[in-house]
Amino acid sequence: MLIAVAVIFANLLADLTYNYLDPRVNGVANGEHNTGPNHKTNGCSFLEFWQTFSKTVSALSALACLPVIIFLAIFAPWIAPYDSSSSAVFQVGDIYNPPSASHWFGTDDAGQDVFSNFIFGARISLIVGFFAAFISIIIGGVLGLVAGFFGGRWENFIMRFTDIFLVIPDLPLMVVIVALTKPSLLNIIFVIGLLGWTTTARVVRSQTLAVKSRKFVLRARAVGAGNGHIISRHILPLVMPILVVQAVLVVSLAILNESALSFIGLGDPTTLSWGQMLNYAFGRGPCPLGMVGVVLPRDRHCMGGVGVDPARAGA
Amino acid sequence: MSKENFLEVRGLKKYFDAGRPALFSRESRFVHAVDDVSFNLRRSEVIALVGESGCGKSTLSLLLMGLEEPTEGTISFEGRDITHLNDKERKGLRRKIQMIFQDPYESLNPTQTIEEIINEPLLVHGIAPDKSERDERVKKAMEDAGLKPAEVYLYRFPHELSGGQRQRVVIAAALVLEPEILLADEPVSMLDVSIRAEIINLLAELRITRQIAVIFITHDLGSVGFFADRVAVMYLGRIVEIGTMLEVLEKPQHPYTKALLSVIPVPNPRLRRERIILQGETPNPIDVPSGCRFHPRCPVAISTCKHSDPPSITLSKTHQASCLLLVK
Repeated sequence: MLIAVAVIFANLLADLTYNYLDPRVNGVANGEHNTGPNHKTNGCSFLEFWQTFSKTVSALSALACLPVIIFLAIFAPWIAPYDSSSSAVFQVGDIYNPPSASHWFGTDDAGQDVFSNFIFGARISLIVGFFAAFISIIIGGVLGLVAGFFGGRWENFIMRFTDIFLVIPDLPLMVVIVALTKPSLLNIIFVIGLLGWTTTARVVRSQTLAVKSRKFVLRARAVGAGNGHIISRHILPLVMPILVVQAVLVVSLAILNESALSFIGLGDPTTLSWGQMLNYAFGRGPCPLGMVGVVLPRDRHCMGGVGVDPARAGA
Repeated sequence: MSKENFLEVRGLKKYFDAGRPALFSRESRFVHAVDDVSFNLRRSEVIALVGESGCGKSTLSLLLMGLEEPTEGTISFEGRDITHLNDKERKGLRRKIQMIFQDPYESLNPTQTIEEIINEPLLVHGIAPDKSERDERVKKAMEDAGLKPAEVYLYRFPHELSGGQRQRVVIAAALVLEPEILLADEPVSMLDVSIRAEIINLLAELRITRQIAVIFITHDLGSVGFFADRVAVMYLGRIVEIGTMLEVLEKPQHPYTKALLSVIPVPNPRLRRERIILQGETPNPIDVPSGCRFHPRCPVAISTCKHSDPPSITLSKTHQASCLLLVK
């Protein structure tokens, strides 16, 4: 009991620090929020990037968090003290154990080690996050580039199409689509990826428009370069920084979306993600000691958010 | 191919659609950016195109480059009509006609090194597939453009160079294709006065060493004096006076040319002329004045100027001006 209270308190502390570290709060407050890619001198952009980055507390802590989580996800079978997928026989005494030396975060309703589940859960959350973000960035990037570069009728069509997607509330639509299709890992990735590209498309389009009107693009045309060459050599290198920033944002959004879907019970039932753990803990009766099971996934969840979010603050 | 018809422009017009003046108007209005311009350029000749801001100089250069489609008129190069070309033909022509842009701070991609910038035209045109041959050409173009020694600049980025050096990079990137015509759209207007002379000297040199014809667009009559063979003065989209450099600078006939010349600073106070300060603003190119388009600002306008558009009057074999006062 005592331990559970201590953990809850620690969690509260973590939430508070998260608020402090959140780039949206922190960066805007002290005016350090750097919109890097719009800098005119892009010659040594990485150096500049690093100079701002290394001054931001949140960015540095994120830089520390992110590899830890990725490391945990990749080497989960070696790090986790117990195999979460094993169907070992548990006894009644193993269920809802409080944290102890052998089970750091206690055990859940099935007698499984919560700590091991966290570590394996990181895998699914990151896989969904990165793949969904990849899909979003590709779709959003291509549509934004085409709309911005070619303009005219195509731009109108693509941007109205984007607007339609932008005004649809993402989460309810995801719920509907996932409910109608099978809630498998692949489906969830596609649904999140196919609905998350709108902001990317808009941001990339505006940046493309800005770059396109610059004189060196006209000069490239005068030299005889075709559209493909101009896009790949002149537009893309200047849109890239903004695309990277956008990618980081979309990854964190995708992780959150996946957790939300899993939490309301639409996650892939055969896999275990952070959201899924929340769902189980919530649905299967958190007794006072079992609170550990509710609280801890949230904590890690924050860590995932912290890890990805401020990385974007520096960029 | 006669020497006269190297580049020939006949009745070139470019109107930009300025939209309808009111919501329910039938006809849209047009900006008369270039309105009936004709001239020709001989091989390795330097022609200066002078005029104030907004008179259509830059539009004319974009038309000659094929970056804008003309509304009317023809451009022919070496006797071949190049007014409307498909992409492939246009690309081939770009090797012959190259352009230098006004603002060297904006016309270089900040993410490319100087070597990449100057190499780019060769890559685009697939010239010299061999890497070492390309390097050779890049270096030669750089040294011709006054970036010596080339090795110092090769792997720098544009923001590490001064304005004059950047403009030399732009010139080198144009020279690397070995063009026959160089369009220079106010190449020195963004540069310091001390650098201007260097760049103009460079262009004058190139014209001798490489036999390049130059169309030098400027708003500053003073800077073209010693360099151009012929001078064309533009006003509101039309060439109002064209002639050899001496004819135009020593014996200007059109009142607009006289006004432009009178405000060039003269160092010797005894030689100072009376300045003709033009009254009023440049008319809106959407509503071009009736009759002579210069009459609202012309100090010597007569009543007929309001109604009849002056024809081009031939004053000598090379000298023409459009002014009713010259009609005898």
